[in-house]
Amino acid sequence: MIEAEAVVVIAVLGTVFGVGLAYASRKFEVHVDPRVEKISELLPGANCSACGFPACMELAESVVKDHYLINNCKACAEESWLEICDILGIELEKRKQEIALVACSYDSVDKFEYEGVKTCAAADLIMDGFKACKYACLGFGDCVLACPFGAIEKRGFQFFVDFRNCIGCGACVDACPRGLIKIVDKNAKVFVRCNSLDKGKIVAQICETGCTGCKQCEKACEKEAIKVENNLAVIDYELCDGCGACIEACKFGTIVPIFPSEDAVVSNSE
Amino acid sequence: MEDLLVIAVGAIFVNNIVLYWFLGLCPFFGVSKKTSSALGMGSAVIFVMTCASAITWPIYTYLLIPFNIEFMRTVTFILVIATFVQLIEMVIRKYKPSLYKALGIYLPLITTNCAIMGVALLNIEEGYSFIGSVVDGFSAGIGFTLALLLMSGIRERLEFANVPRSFQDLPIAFISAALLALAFMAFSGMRL
Repeated sequence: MIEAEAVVVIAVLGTVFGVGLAYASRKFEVHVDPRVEKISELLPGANCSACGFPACMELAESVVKDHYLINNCKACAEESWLEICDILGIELEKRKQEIALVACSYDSVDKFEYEGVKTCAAADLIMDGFKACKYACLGFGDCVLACPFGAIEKRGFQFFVDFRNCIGCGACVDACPRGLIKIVDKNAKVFVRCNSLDKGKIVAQICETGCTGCKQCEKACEKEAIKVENNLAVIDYELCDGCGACIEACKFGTIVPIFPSEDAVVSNSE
Repeated sequence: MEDLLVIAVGAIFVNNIVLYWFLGLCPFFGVSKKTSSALGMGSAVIFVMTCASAITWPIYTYLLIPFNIEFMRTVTFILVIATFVQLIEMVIRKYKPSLYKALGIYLPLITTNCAIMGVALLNIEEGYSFIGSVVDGFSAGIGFTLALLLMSGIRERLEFANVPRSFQDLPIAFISAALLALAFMAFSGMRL
C-alpha cells in the first residue's frame, strides 16, 4: 500500500508544482521586444565588447531603444548588418572597415635573458622589457589571447593578422602593454612597422628594421601623406594613395606593403 | 542560539560542503577560474541553499513523514528544489532585473546541483529543527563560497606558474583542491 501512497503523493506534488509554475510564468511574464532576439541572432555573438557593451545580447537590447548604436558593432558581417538596419527601419551609410596591425618587426636585439612569467604584461614590467628597444614587441602573445576572433597568429617570432577574421575591434590594442598594435583602414596599402620614438642613431644600433626618422619617405611621398613625428614615420591614410614610393625610399625596410596573399591571410611582413 | 552557532561553524569550516563532503565539484572547478565569477556563483548558491533548506524541511516533516514515505525524499527534493528555483527565477526577473543579471546563468545552473541536494538531505539526516536547517543551508552556502573564493585565488596564481604540460589546467586544479581539503582537515579536530 505504501507504494501506492508514494506514487500518489509524488504525482499530486508534481501536478501542483506544474500548474503553479504554469500560472507563475503567466503572472510574472516579462515582455521582451521580439526584435531583440532577431537582432541578437544576426549579431556575431563573439562578445568582443568593441561596441562598449559586455555582450552581443546587451547591444541588441540597447539597439532597440537607440537604433544608431548598431554603428558601434564592428564585427557584424555586411549582410546581417543591413538586415538589422532593415529590422530597425533605418538606413545607414556603409561602414569603414578596419583591421589591426602590429607595428614591430621583432628585429631588436635582446638586452638580457628573460626567465619570468611568460606574458607580455609581466615582461614589460622588468627593466622596460628584455628587448634592447623599449618599444619592441615582447612576443609572448598577450594579443593572441585577447583576440575574440582568433585572428592573430604567432609564426616564429612574428605576429600575423588574418584579414578575413580581424574586424578591428581593438581588443588586442588594449592587451598590448606597449601599445604596438594599430587599428588602420582595411584598404590601406602601406604600413610603418615600427613604433620606436628613439633617436635614429640608437635605433640603428639595436634594430635592423627600425624607423630612424631619416625622412627619406617624407621626401619620396608626392601626396605628403607621410610625416616623421618624434623620430617615427606616420602615415595619414586619408591622403595616402598606396603608390608605394615610400617603401622603395625606406632603406631599412621599415615601411612594408600590406597585401593579401592567395588564401587571403595577410601578414604585416613578408 | 549556541546550537545554531555550532551548526554554522560546522557547516562553514568543519564539514565544508566541498572540501569535506566533496559535493558540488562541478561548479567548484567550473567557475573557480576568476574571483568575480566565483563571487557570483557563491552568492547564487548561498541564496538557493538557504531557500532549499527552508522549503524541503516542511515538505519532509509535514508530507513525507505522515505518509510514511521518507524513502521518497530524494525524488521529492529534486522536484521541490527545481520547481522552487524556477519560480524564484521568474519572480526575480520580474521585480529585480539587476539581481537577475548579477546571478545570471548561475541560478538555473545550480538548480539540480548535488551540493544543494546534499545539504537538504543532510539536514534531515542530522535531525535539525526548521531554524537549524535554514542556518545550516545558509552556512553551507557560505562555506561553498569560501572554498570557491580560495580556489579561484589559487587558480589565478596558477595561471602564471610553470606547470608541467601534462598537469596543466584541470589536473593541477584537482591537486590544489586536494591540498586545500587537507588543510581544511585541521578544522575537524575542533571542539565547540
